[in-house]
Amino acid sequence: MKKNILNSFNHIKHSIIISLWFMFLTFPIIVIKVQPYEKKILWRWDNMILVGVCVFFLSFLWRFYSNSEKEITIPKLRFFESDKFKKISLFFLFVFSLLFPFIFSNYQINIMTTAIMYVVLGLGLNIVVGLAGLLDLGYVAFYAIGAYSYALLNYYFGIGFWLSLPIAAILAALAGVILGFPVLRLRGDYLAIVTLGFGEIIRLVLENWDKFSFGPSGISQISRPSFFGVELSPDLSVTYIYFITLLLVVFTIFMVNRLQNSRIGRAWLALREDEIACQAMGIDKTRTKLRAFALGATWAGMVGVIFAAKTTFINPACFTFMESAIILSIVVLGGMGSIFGVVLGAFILILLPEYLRELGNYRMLAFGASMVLIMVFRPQGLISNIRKIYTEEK
Amino acid sequence: MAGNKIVETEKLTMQFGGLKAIDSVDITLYEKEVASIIGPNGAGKTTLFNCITGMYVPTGGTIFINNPNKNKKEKISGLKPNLITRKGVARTFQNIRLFKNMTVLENVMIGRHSRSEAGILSAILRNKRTRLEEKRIVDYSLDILNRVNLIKFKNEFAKNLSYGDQKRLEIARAMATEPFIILLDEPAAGMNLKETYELMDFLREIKEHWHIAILLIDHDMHFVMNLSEKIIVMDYGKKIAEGTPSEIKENPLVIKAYLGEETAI
Repeated sequence: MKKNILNSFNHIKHSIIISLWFMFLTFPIIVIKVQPYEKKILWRWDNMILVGVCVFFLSFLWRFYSNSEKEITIPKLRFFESDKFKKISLFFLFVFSLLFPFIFSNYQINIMTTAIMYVVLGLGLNIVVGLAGLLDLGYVAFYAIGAYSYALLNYYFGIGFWLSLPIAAILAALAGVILGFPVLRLRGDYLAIVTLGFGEIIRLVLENWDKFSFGPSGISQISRPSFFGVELSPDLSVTYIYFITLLLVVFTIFMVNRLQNSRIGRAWLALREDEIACQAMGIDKTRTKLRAFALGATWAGMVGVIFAAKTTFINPACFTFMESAIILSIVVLGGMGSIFGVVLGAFILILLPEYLRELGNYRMLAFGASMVLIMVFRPQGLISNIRKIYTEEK
Repeated sequence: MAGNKIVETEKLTMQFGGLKAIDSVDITLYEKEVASIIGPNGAGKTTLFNCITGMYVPTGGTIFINNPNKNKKEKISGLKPNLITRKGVARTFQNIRLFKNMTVLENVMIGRHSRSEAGILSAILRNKRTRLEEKRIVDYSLDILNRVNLIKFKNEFAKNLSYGDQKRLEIARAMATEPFIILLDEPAAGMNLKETYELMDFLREIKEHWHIAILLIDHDMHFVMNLSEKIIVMDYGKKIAEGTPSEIKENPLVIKAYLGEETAI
């Protein structure tokens, strides 16, 4: 008992020190405000007190929970890992995702569609980065190739959404192989640099090739997907595209799940773990790498088509490095190589900034803080890599 | 020495810049033979392994193999490592190179890669043939794990195993590729006496029951002398002696270069 009190006293002491330290650190930005036109300096001392109190409570809570964590979490986790829980939650998720467009406004549906698109992008990049361990910073290039394939095919030849989807997927996969060949020998940082360059090259080509891709002004009036030959109104299209994206994500999860527990998936993991041992085990490094690049790019190509159809306007500015960074963050944040992790990561990274709009200017600050917090507490990603458990059946 | 020649090197040379790591070495290995390579550090032992398994392309000379199941002499120097593994030459590494974040079973299953053929399409469709192949891979791997006594760890991550178990798993993984010869780079390094004896029994079993030849590098003379039928001694990239353990112990050249005058073995 006495020890407990002493402990909490220690917690309080530490928390006070931390809050003082934070007040000191944030002093220049939180307290002082210079008004250049009035030539006045505002001293907002009340802000300082607010920061101090908030930090004190946060720090105290953190200390309290990190000490008592062990006893609380174990029974909870067991329930979450049970098959029953998985089935029930999957069922509810399924029903919810089907009913979603009929409950919420078009604005909400649009946000959700974007989030699901990023889930697919994340799963695609997960093949390259999470499974095969090839750090690809130019993933957005394949996304751009998909989007531009549809936009240009639509513009020049009037080819529709559904035919463009497989064409764009194939073109993106080809681009994946084209990127794959020169980087076969590269690893780690070097690979990251080259892929980064590749992403920029594609964007710059699109930006400067005025005659072909209409340069920075982009392509507008891309047709929306038709419903068995019937053109839909923009309002209905939103719902329709939502369902197309939903279908794509289910398809993707199905495929990636099958791939990662197959001979090919294991070869990717082996490549990630140890390139030399992987070769010594009879795995063709070249083919395995190219397969990863091509398959990863395929998803980006398909999402690109959906993106172009959804916004009906694309220009090279949609495909900056920032996009690659976001997709990569989804994979890293969610947990490399874990499908569920990527889904979770995509929802957090795409939905959080949207719903944090209420916070106005502090939106990105809160977003950054939540990312830092996740990385502090779960450096391996939200869901760590779980491998298939084989049981003996004889 | 009875049996067919299974590995032959002819004037094998590997040059790094001005340094000849291996200098026209001729080695002949026979079916079901346990041979060892010994020599001081930097003698070119591991380089020789790397040449045979295709990690390095030798700068001179040729390497032939003759898979006893096929009985056809083939040149393997210049081939990629994965092709050489496919032809039946497996290896382990000096510093353990397991796939640490994969389960023990999956590590062995990787070894079956070159003996199975499911591609992307069949992985996605998961048709009957693929399911059967997958089952065969799992069964074969479980069988190997049973034999090396690692079955109880099958769903553990490889990185969680003890050092001795990791070394055994690496051998098991190499066995899964169905080799006719297995190259072990310092299998007994870092093992205590008990573990070394267990390893010796295990390697004898590999030879007796699975009919696989073994070529190994080690510095533990007790281990090498007890296990090997033939010992090859290397120094400064050259083969300086070859013979049975008792011949090698008496060889003055070997004593001077490696064993040392006072060593009692």
